[in-house]
Amino acid sequence: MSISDLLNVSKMGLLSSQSALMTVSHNIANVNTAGYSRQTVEFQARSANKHSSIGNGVDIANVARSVDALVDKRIIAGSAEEGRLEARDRYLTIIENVFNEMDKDGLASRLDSFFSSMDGLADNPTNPVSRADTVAGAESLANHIQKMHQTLSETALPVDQEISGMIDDINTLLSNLKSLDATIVSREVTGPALDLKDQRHDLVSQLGSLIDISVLQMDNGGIQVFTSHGQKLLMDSQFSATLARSGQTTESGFAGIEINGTEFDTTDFVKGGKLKGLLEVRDEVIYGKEGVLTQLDALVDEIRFQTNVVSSQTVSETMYKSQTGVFDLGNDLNTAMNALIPYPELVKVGTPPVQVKGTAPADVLRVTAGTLTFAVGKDADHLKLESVEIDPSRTLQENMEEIDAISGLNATVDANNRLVLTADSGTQYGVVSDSSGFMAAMGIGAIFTGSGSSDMGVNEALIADPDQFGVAKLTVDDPTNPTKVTFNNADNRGALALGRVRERESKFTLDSYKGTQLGSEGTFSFYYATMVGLFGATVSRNSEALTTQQSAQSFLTDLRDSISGVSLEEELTELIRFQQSFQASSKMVSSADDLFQTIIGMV
Amino acid sequence: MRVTQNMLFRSGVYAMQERSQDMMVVQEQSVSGNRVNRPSEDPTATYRHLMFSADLSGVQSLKKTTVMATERIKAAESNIDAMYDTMLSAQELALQYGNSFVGGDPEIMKAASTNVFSYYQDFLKNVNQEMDGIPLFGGGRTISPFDETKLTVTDIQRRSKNVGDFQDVSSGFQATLSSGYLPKELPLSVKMIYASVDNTFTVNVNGVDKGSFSASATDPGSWFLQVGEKSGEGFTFQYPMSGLQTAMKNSTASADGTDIATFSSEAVNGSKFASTAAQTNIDAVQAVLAQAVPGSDLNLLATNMMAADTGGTLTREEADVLAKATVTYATSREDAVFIAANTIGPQNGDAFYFEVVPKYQGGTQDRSIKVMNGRTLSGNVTGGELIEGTQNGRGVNIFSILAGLRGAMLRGDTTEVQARINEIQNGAQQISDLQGVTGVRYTQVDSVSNTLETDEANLTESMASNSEADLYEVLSHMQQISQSLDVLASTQREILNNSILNYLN
Repeated sequence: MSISDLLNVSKMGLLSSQSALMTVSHNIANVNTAGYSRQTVEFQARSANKHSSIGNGVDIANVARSVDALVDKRIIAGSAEEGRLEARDRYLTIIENVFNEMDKDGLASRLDSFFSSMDGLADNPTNPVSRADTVAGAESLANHIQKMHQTLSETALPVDQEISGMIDDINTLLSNLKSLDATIVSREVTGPALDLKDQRHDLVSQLGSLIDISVLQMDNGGIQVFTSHGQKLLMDSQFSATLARSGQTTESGFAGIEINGTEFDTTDFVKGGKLKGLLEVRDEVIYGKEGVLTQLDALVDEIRFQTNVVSSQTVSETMYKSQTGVFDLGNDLNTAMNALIPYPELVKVGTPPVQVKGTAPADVLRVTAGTLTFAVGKDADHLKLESVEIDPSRTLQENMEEIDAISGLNATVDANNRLVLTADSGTQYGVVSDSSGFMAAMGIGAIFTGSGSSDMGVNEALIADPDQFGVAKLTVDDPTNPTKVTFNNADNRGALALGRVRERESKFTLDSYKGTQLGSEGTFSFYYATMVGLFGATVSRNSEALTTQQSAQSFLTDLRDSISGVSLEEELTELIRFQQSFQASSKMVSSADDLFQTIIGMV
Repeated sequence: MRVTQNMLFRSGVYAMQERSQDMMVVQEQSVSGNRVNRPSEDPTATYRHLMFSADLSGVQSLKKTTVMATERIKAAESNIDAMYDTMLSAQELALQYGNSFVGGDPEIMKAASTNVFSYYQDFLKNVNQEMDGIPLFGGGRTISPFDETKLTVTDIQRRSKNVGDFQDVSSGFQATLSSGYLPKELPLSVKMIYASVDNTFTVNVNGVDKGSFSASATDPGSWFLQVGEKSGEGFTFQYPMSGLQTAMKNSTASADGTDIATFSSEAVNGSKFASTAAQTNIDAVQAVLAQAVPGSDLNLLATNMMAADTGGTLTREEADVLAKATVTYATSREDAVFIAANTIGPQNGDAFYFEVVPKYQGGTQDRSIKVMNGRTLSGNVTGGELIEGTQNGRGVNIFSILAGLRGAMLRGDTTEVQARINEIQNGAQQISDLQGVTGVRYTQVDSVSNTLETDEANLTESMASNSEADLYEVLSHMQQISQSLDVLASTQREILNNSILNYLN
């Protein structure tokens, strides 16, 4: 044992304290670095050599990250769910605004206003202002519905664009992870890659918030990443998956997703993360079987058809000389009506199956076998009843020919492919009754046009001349077996019948979903109130789930912080501690020097 | 547990964010006045709000229309009241001048006829009254219910021997206005007296004698009565020939479309019955009906094929006849049926009357009033019911009555005035009936209107309690959050400033 040994021991103490102070400094510097795990120096006493039992000072055995792998794992797992709920919440709030009826300026108030205008019209059916008001009410309703569709579909578009952006983000993250992981593996051979592991953890957390993943820790310090369903995303620092938009279209009409060139069933294979949230918003919340657009379309279909069925059996202030249907008859007049594909339904036909869009009028499949009765004559008091039987198993052409065979009435198809009814010169006509719904399906006397919420509109003829609005019904002597018919121009039964449409209970179905009934049977108001209420519940449920998840994540983050986070108090205490040990070691050097000087003095 | 700075910061920020969110909710509530401002805040309340809104909209709409309908019925009622008063005045006048002691002076009666004319004009004005651009009594048509350019000739009535009450005549009598002819003076009352001696009719129009004409020998007789200034302006008067002048060649009686008897020529009036039988209004024939039960009623359709004795074209005449099976003359003709054929022609001294009055142009049903979901009430009564006695009326033509009364006054004929009292009373009763109908409808609609008002108040209250914000609660909540924020801010300041760094210096 010599004085120089003493100096060596002191030197080791000084160096260790310096390293410890460096670590404290590093920790303090990273106090606000996200994902940073505090590092601690582990000291190790240097053992005595074989000739002595006195130790040789201190060594830095290890600088360790303070982490709990289980907590980190739980955070990654939780961030997937949080990401999903957050993505949903962001768009659900936007969509909810479309259905926010509390400001009394939504679809419900317009629906009420439209039908209330019918009541006003029934009070004075000849008042041109009432008619114009009713047409304006119909336009307001149709425009608002179109606006709702536009907002919803325009919400789906950025969602889809965000999905594309997110796929790029995932690819970038995977690529970065791959190279970082490789660096870590090579670094781990010589020593712990402390900060790199934090960086990797941060990337993995980011990836975990985008898509649900599971992470396997390898012995060499590397990791393997899979989707929670088992798709390989990162393997042994060598392979990282590439996600891309595929050529196939989903049920909602958007491009699918492929992973390494293979179609990826996002419904089954992605269970969490922001990507899942966005996919749910696009394919389930907006589109899809129970999506808001689907439900809105079902409501619009019902409003259009039910209103048109009644309006097609009304007569305006004067009887008609000619009427043009509002619907395009499609390109097939010679196929049985009940075998036609209505617009805008998508069906797969042929071998191999090809998706095609229907062309027949949207309501053609709603036509049933029934009697269509006209009153034809020279004036209101000289009308003759003429009936034809409408048969949906016949073609459009055949049914039109039946009408054309009526004396004084002609049924033709115009250049725009619309059904046109024209009375002979000096003759006028009106529809007395139509139990088949044929007139409504062809758009004769229709109020609403279009095939869904995207293109709902109002009959242009009514907008151009609101006096054409049908408010009267032809008066027959015996409704069950009419033999005589007259026309009263101030009759209000048409307007009353139209007003009653809002009281009618309907089944809301969509042909594109094979007639699946949406919601309960009820009035338009009931259906819409239920739809809005249920959507509100969905938003609320998501919001509550998000809050719960955020609380859980907050707890886990706090837990991680309590393990891995930097506490300034702690570091400052450590600072004093290591400062003091450094000072003490310095003192030891000084003492050794004194000893040495003493010895030199002795010489 | 170790506590780090980040944990303290995060916890503080999180708590502040939560309070700020609460503050924003309170701010929204105070601005909108609604407790619920978006569906997710309270989905059930949103659903109820929408359902209440739909109900309230329906109720408010109904209330609006029933209030307007009430006004319309009220206006109609007031006009009908005026009509009823007018009918009472007409009745009073008829009672006064139908009495020969009081109203025997033709000149006074002529002067008083102007009152009747004003009654007619009052009626015309009242029944054509409009509201909101639509006639009150147009029955669902905008056309003026009565227009003096659209005329009708009433059914012909007869006073046998020009005395007594008015009687309906058989279907053979009919007067038709010549096409395009519009009399200058309306309404017209025409009286014709038949004289069998020279087979002539003497004509009087609104108290002015128009001469006489010879009845035609053809069957049925037809004569053009020139009334207007230009040639062809007048009426065609058709009448059947007398039973005495007619031979029934073939007659059948059928029930439910099946011939049940054929009358032989022997059964013709005048052959089996004494000629005096023809003096009554009923011409009778006889047939054997084996299945008829004596005393029972038989609804028969009598079809007579007639021709003049001199020959010529057979005329087919059909009439629904209520016959009564009875036991008769001959033992061989038991269960015989007398058939009232009403085909008798004019008899000597008979007076025939008809009037020319405006014809109802409106519809048969008025605008219904929607009073609740799926239920409507009838609107106003129609001009047809009021003036022509159709549907809910008593079949009395008020204009015809007033025209006839005026004609009788202009003719200075107290007996005719007297004879018209019954129909005037019927007319007044008809107006009174419809007054009652309108009154009931007014009460119904008014009652519905009141009910709707209550419904509106209830629904408004329900909506308010469902979704409106309690401002006291909102303010209290705001105060609470504000205090909470204050406390949180000061606490955070203390916590975050409290660091060992302060002591290291």
